[in-house]
Amino acid sequence: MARREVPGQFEQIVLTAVLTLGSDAYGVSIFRRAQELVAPRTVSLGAVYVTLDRMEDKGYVTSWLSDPTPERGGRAKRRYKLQSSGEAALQESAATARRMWDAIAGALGPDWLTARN
Amino acid sequence: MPHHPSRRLETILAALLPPASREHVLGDLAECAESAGQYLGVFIAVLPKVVLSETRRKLRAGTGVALMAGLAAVALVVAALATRGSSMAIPGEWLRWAAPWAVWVAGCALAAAYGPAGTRLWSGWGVLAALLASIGAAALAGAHVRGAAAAIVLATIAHMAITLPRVRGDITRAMHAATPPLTLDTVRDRAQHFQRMIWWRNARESVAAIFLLGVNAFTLTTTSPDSPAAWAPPVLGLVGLSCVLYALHVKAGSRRVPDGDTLAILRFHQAEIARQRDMLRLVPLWYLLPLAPGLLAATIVQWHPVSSPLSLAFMAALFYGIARLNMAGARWLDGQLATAQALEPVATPEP
Repeated sequence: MARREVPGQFEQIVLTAVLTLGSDAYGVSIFRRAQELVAPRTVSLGAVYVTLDRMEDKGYVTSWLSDPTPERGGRAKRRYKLQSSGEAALQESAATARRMWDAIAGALGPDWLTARN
Repeated sequence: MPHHPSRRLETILAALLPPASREHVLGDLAECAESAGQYLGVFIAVLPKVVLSETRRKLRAGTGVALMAGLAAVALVVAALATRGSSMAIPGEWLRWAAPWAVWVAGCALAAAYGPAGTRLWSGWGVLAALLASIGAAALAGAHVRGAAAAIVLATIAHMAITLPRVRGDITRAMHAATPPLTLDTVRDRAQHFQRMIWWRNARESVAAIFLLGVNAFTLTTTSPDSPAAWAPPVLGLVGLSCVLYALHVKAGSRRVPDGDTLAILRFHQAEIARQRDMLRLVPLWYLLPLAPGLLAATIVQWHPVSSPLSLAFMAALFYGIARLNMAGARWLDGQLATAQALEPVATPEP
C-alpha cells in the first residue's frame, strides 16, 4: 500500500493558513497568518513561497493569478486554494498532534502547557 | 502605507525574478513593504529562495537539463581526449574539464528556471550567459578553451535537435502568452509590441553575428595570404555574415509605429506582419545560404575522415531545424495577419 507523504511542520502551518484564509489566501495574507501561527518565532516570505510551490507540486493546493490591483502597483495576486488531498493531509497531521497532546497530558498532567509557561 | 518602487527599479528587479514568479512576488513586495529599504531588503531575502524553488520545479517538469548534462559530459570527454590526448591519464586533468561542465549544467538549470512561465522552454539569454560563464570557467581551470566551447556548442545543437519536436507546443504557447490580445483599443500597443519583438530578435542575432565577425577577422589576421585554403573560409564567413546583417537590418529591420488613427496603425501593422512573415519564409535564402559557403569551406579545408562528415551532418540537421522553425513562425504570423485583417471592416469608418 502506498504511504501518503506526511507534511512537515512548516507545511502544516502554511496549509492551515490557506485553509483558514479561504478565498483570501495569497502570498502576503498567507505569510501574515503563518506569522501569527508560529509567534513568537518568525517566518520569511521566501520560505512561504518555497513551501507553497512544493505543496502545489504535491497537489495539496492549486493556484491562479487574479486580476491586478492598484494597491499592489498594478500587479496580480497568486491566489491559493486547498485541495482535498491537502485537507486530508492536514487532518492527518492534526490528528497526530492531538494524540501527542493527549499523550503528553497523560504523562505531565492536563495543565502541562500552562505549568511550563 | 505600501511602498511602490520607481518603474525603472521595478523593471530591473523584475528581470532578476523568474517569469513564473515575477507578477505575484512584485505585487506582494509592493503590498507589504513600507519603505524603499524594506522593499529591497525583502527582495534580496526572497530572490534566492524563489530562484531555487523555480529551478527545482523546472527540473522536475522535464525541461531536459539532465539530458543536456549527459550530452555535454560526452562532448567534453571527447574534446578533452582530442585536444589533450595522453595528458588526460593524469587524474587531476579531468577536474579542469569538470569545471566548465559544472558551470554549464548549473547555468542551464537557471536558464530553464528563467524560461517562459508554464512551458519547458529555456531563457535564450540564460543559455548565452551560461555558455560565456562555462567558457570563462574553462579558461580559469586551464582546460582547452576552444575545445570546451566547441563541445558545449555541439551538445547544445544535439540537445535542440532532440528536444525541439517535444517542445513545439510550448513555443506556440509562449508566443501566444507574450502577445497582448488584438482589438481596436490595443492595436497601437500590439503594433509597438510587435516592433519591439523584431528589434530584440535583430539585436540578439546582431550580437551573435558581430561576435562571429570578430572570430573570422581574427582568424584572417593569423593566416598566410599566400594560402587561399587558409584565408578562404574566414573571408567567406565575413561575406556571409555581412549579408545576413544587411538583410536583418535593411530588409527585416524594425520600424517606428506611425502616428495616426486606428485604421492607419492597423494597416501599418498588417503590412509589417506580412513583411516579417515573408522574411521568415525566405530564411533559407537570406540567412542560411550566405552562411553555408564559409562553414563548408572551413570543414573541407580541415577535412578529417570521421569528424568532418559528422559536423557536415550536424550542420545540415541544424540548418533544416532552423528552416522548419522559421516556417512554423511564418505560419503563426499568418494567423496573426488573419486576426488583424478581420478587424479592418470594424475600424473602417462608415461612408
